[in-house]
Formats: sequence, structure tokens, C-alpha cells
Amino acid sequence: MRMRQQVLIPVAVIVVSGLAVLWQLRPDAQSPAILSEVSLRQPEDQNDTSTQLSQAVFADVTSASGVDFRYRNGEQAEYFTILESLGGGIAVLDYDGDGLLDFFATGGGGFGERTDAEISGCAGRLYRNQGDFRFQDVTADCGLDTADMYSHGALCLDADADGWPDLLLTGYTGVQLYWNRQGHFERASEDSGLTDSRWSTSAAAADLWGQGKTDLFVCRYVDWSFLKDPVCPERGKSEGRDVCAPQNFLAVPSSLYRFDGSSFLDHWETIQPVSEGKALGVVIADFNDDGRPDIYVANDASANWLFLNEGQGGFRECALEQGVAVDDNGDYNGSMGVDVGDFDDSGKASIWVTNFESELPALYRNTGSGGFAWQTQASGLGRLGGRNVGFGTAFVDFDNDGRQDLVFVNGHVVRYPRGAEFLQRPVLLRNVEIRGRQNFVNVSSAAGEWFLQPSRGRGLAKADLNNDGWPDLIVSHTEAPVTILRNLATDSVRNHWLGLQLEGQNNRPLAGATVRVQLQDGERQLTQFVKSGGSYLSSSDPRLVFGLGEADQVVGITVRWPWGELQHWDALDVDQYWVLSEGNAEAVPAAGTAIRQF
Amino acid sequence: MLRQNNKRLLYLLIWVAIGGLCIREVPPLIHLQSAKTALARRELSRADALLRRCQNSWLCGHESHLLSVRSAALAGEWQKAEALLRKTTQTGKRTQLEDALLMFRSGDTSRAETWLIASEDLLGDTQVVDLLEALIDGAVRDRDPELAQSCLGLWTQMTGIEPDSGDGNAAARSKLAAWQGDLTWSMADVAIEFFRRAVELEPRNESAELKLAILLIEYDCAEARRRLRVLAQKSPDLGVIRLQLAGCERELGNFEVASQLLDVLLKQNPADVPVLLERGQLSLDESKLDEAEEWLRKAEKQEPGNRAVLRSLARCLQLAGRVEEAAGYRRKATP
Repeated sequence: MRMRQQVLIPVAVIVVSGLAVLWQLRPDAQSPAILSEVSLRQPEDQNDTSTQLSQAVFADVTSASGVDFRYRNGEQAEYFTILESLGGGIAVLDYDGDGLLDFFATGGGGFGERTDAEISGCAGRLYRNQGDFRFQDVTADCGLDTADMYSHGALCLDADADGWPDLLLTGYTGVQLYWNRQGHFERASEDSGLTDSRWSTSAAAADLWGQGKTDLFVCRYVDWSFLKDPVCPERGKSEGRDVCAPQNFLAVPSSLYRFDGSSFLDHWETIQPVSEGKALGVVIADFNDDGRPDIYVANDASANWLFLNEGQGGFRECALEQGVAVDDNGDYNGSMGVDVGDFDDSGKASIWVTNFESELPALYRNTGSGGFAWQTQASGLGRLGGRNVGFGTAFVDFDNDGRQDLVFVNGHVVRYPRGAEFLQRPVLLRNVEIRGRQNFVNVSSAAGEWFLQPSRGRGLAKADLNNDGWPDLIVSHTEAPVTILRNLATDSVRNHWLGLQLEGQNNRPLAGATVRVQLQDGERQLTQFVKSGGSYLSSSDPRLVFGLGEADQVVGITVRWPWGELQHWDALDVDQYWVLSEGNAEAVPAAGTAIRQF
Repeated sequence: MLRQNNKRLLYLLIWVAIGGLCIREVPPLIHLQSAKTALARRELSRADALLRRCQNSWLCGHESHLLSVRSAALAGEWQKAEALLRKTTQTGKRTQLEDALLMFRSGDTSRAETWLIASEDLLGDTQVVDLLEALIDGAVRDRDPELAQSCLGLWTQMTGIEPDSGDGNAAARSKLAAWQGDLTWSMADVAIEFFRRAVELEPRNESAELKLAILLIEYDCAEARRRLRVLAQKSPDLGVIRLQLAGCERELGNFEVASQLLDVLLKQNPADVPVLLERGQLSLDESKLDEAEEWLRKAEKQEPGNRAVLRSLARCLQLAGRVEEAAGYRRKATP
């Protein structure tokens, strides 16, 4: 009995203790659901089918168009120069005055030996629009088969105000101006004053001095040559080689040319900005609604510039003050493409900028007197994430519903990126109102096959290539074919539109004009801004197309011409283009007339 | 007979005492061991939970308290870590070591050399490894890559774990990958790869996952939000996670959710400058200028020289049309 007790007690103690220990060792109860107190419902726009597309809106029609051209950057030489990273652009112009938009694509260049003397150019291509999305290569016939510059950008302008659109090419050794002599191009002589050989990228033209002449802003990038060409290892490695980031080079001052009718004179020294910039994109429009053309510049790896035109050649750089120099964290971005538009029916010119990887694109909402508000997150653009290296871009109302949508192309600048893909998909964003706020919803996956193909997109131009009132797109890719995208939305959407072709007195430049279209008495007013430049290395259709949605009449149109005068037109028939000439009270149907450049 | 009964009673009492002691002290000892493992894996939420269950132990209460200091420091909660350390009643070499680890981790590595020289005689191998880990963390925080690299060299020598080798235990390799991430933090794309690797090697490495999520906010906010929400469930008290989550929700345009998260944080600490700044920026995004100014003024009151606060105030005042005031703040924000 005693013996049994002596055994039982320790056993009982061990069992009880063991159970107690096991009880204490049980896992913790589930942590309180910290987020339960916070509503985590998804925003309604993402899954709302009404914001998505029912069918593709853009079709790649390149293969049947007769266009077969690609921008060359010379990367085959394996020199890994920063020169290779920029790519090329597209300029849309009616060079022959037949009323159909033609286009020029820049050709880029290549390398021989590793010396500056052996940096060569590739000729660009001028394609004549034969109608129905068929194009003919007329480069040689028109005198543009020259290849003496490693080229990037192309700008259409009518510098000599003869009504025929001229062509300005930018590139590693400066700029080249080609006068259009009734369909044949002739290189401007050195007397034009455009002899500065520093590396130039995008350009824009406007009557910046208010004297009826075509002045010029030319973006210039960095001070690179084979003598200033450091070896940069692959990202995050100590070996290998890749293209160097722009931070490795000094910025080159841009140029602000005043044109006196015969030659251009650089006035950059008079408008020193607050900070230096490595300029890649520029758009000229009236940003502060004072009737004068202002200049916004997208700078790579440096703060962006806004030059407000104070008249008589005075420009005040005030991007920081106006809230368009940096992002919401106060950091400058690697900015490339740029456009201006009224995305929120405010009647004001908001600014859109495509940026480098790990940065969001910037949407700066124009608030009027208070400058610009950072609107990226508030318009749903934060959802894009930072995996894009964005270039050519445009506000484009692809479905003519009267809301400015957005398109941009992407592609990396280094060969071996780590945080993003080398080839990247283009993006189409639809502007929709959600809970009283304009949001941009990504509809790329349903926009058409081309939007699913990753590439190195660079220049992008918007153009109505068949004059049907629905914007088409032309895109330049690095070392890949130029693509022509036909707008198919007209097949599925029954919206109306109004096309306007503005003509200034004596063919004066019109960037800086503002056009307002009144839909119904007291109801919606649509606003567009006549601009030069925009996108990246490119220039788009000079005409304005107003998507009207279901509205089938326009009550009135008001144009404020640059430098002040207001002019009004009464109701116009919709679904066609009209020519509105400065000082002429009559609007004239535009069908068959030459598309003037300004 | 009586003596016989007393003896039996005594015998019973001894066994009950042994049982009681086991019940009281064995679980904390086991929890402490598990907590050490969790800390080694940087599984901070679990370590905290386990350490909380050891703190009344006679045998390991002090050790668990010191490990709580370490856990708080690893989570970047310096004030909490210091407060816990101040509460320590016992002194001695072990407390001194933890004090040094906290100092190093907070970025003050000025006495690194002294400790490293003394460590050969005073500390065991495990403690030297702890010391090196704290020094690496601190050097990264202090932006001293040279010290971080040399400590990392010593650490790899002692642990035998090489950066590009597949050998060694996953937790240690995960830590190494995370330090590589720390050292490449300014190259977010590269750092993301290292932190992703750290989390793949040791999915319980919460500090690596938090850093991965923070970096991902710039690249892929949806993934960042997914990770932050899991972390927030695990560590409900860790404000930094909620703040990052709020930033992520703001990035995604979910202003209402961001606002609710920040309100909870502000209720806990109404003077938290990063939270006030994020709240102000959220109001700016919502175009609520009066509200934004209110939050930003509160932040300014706490830290008058904080450039991010001054910049946001300048932006807010400019948008409100108070151009002169805005210019003043822009000037103050300019270095």
C-alpha cells in the first residue's frame, strides 16, 4: 500500500504538471484582427465593368500600311552609351497640302570606331498618306534622305509662315531645320542661326515674344561624348557594363530661340531657371490662362521647369512655386514625356508627365490661382505602380466621350534593369468619374493586341489619319518597327465629335490659344489648348478634335488667340472638321483643304 | 503513526512543490528558447508573444526582459526598447551587453571597436555574433557601409555563411540577404531582390518582409499592401506597419481607408510627426486644404525644422493662394 502511494504521488504530480505545462505551451489565441476596425473594401472602380472596354479600340494596321521602318540606336556596337537610350520620335504633318496627314519618323544612328567622329546618322523616313491607312515612302523624292546627324526628335512648324509645314530635327549634334518648298524640303543654311551643336532632344515652337513670329524652345540633354563616357557596371553589380544613368553627366543648358524672320537667336541667358535641367520633353501652351504661351519642360533626373510668359520676352521659371517641379514627396523625377489637357472639365490646363521606374507618372491638376495640385493618387494613377519607364504620351479622347483619356508608351533605358522589365507594355487609361472624382482606369488589357506586346516605346504622335474624327496613333520604338494604330472605337461607340482647324492671321503660330466649346446652353463646356511639342520627341496632329459624347449639337465656340483676342462662332454641325480663321467670322468646312501647321 | 503520516505529508508536499515549480518554470523556459529561435529568424511578433509569457518567471524573467529590449530594437521601436531597458532591475554583464546592442542598433556605433576588442575575452561565440549583428544593423542605419561590410565579413567568418552559397541554415542566410538589401537600400530595385530572397529563404523573417513591402510601395503597391496587411495582423501594435499601410492605401487612391488607419495611430500618439505628415498629405490629396494645414501645423509644432513638413506646408499654402507664406516655407525647406 505504502509502496503504491510512493509511486502514485510522483506519477500524479508528473502527469498533472505535464498537463499544466502543455496547457501553458498552447499557441496564443489568434491575434486581434487589427484591421477589422478599418473598412478595407476595394474601391469600386477596379472591378466595375462599366469602366472597362467591351472591345478593342486600337488595331495595329502597320503591316498593310506600307510602313516598314525602325529607329536604330547603334547598340549593336556594344558601347553602352547614354546616346542609345533616348530613341526617336514621330512628326505628323500635311507636307503636301492634300488634307491628309503624313508623318516623318526619325532614323537615329550608329557607331563605327569608339570616337565622336564615328557617330553616324541614319536617315529618317517621310511617309505620304495615300488614304485608307496606306502610306508611301517619299523620303528621297522630298529631299529628306540625309543621314548626317544621329537624330532623335522631329517637330513640325511653319517657321517662314508660308502655309507649308517645315520640319525641325533634333539630335546629338544639334538641330536641323528643313524648309518645306511646296512639298520639297530644303535644308536651312547656317544663316538661320541654328548652329549650336549641343545634344538636343524635344522641341516646341510658338510666338513667344508676341511678334507674330515662330520662336523656338529646344531641349538639350547632357554633356556626353566618347571623351566623357564613364564605364558603368550593371545595376547592383561591380562588373559587367550597362548604359550610364544621366546622373553621371553634367546638364547642358537648353535653348530659347527668338526668330526675327530670317534667323534664330538664343536668349537662354535671359531666363536662367532656378535649377539646372536635363531636358527631354517640352510643351508650349497657356498654363495660367493669361493668353500668352508658356513653356513646361520635363527634365530627366532634375526638377521640371515652368516658364510663365510675362510678355516682352520676360519668362519667370516658377515650377517649384506652382507645384509642378517635383512629386508629392518633394523629389524630382526622371521625366520624359509631357502633355497638357483639361481632364476634369475645369477649363484649366493640367499637366501630365511620364516618369522613370519607381516613380509614378505625375498628374498636376491646375487649380487656377493656387498653382497646381499633385493629383496622381487622387485620380487612381497610383495603381499603375512604378514598373514603367514612360516616354511618349498624349491626352487622347479615344472614345470621343468628351473626357480626356491618356495613353503612354514605355521601355527601359538600360540593358539589364533589375526592378522593371527591359521591354514594357504600353498603357491606355480611360478617364471616368467615380464618386465625383475623375479617375483614370487602366483598360490596356482590352484595348487591342498591340497593348499586350512589350517593347521599347519612345516617340508617340496622335493623329486622325483618315479624317474620321477618331484619333489614331503612331509610335516609334527603339530597334523595332514604327507602329500605326487605327482607332476602332467608332465601330462600337456612337459618340459625336467636332474637329477644328485653326488658322492664325498671316499663318502666325497659335500655340497658347485656348478653345472652348459649349455643348448646350448652360451645360457642359469643353476646353482644349492649342499647343506645340508635347509627348516625347514628337509632334501630333495640329487640329483639335472635341469628343461630344451623345451631344449632337454645339451651341458655340470661343477661341482666345494667343496674345489676347477673343473670337466667337455660333453653332456648327458636328461630326466634321471646320476651319476657324483668325478674324474671319465664317467657319469653313475643312474637307479637302490643307492642314496648316502652327 | 503520527510521524509516519507527517513523513507522508512532507513527501506529498515536496512532490507538489516540484510539480508546481515545473508548472511555473518549465513553460517559460521552453517559451524563452522558442523566442530566441523566433528572434534569430526575425519573427518578431511571435518572439514578442513568447517573451510576454516568460516575464514573470523566476528563472528566465530577466533574460526574457532583455530579449524584449532586443525585439523592440529589431522592430525599430527605440523608445520602447529604451524604456524596457530602463526598467531592468538587475545589472551585470548580460544587461551591459543588451545596452550595447541597443546602442549599436539605434545607429550609435562609436564604441564598436572597444566592444569588438573586449568581446574576445568577455563574450561567448553566440554573444559575439549578436554583437556583430547589432553592429551591422547600426552601421546600416548610420549609413556607414564600410563598418557594415567589415562586420559582415566577421559575421560570415564566425557563422560560416557566405553570400552566394546555398549552405547554412535558412534563417541565417535570410538575415544575410536582408543585410545585403539594407546595404543596397538606395537602389530600390536591387534591394527588392535581396529582401525578396530573404523572405523566400525564411518566410517568417518579418523585418525583411516589412522592408520589402516598404520598397514595393514605389513599384507595386498592391503587393506591398498584401504583405503589410499580413504583417499588421501579426503585429497589431507596430505603428510603422500601419503607417506604411496607410501610405500604400493613399497611393492606391483609397483615401477613406488610409484616413481610418491614420486616425487610429493618431489616437494612440497625437504628436507622431510621420503620422501627422502622412495625414496632412492625405488631406492635400483630397483637396481639403484647411484640414491639411491643421495636420501639418501640428507636425510643424513638434518638429519645426522637418523639411518634408515644411515642403508640404508650402504646397498647401500655395494651393490656398497664400503665396507669400508659401514662399517663406519653401525657403525654410530649402537646404
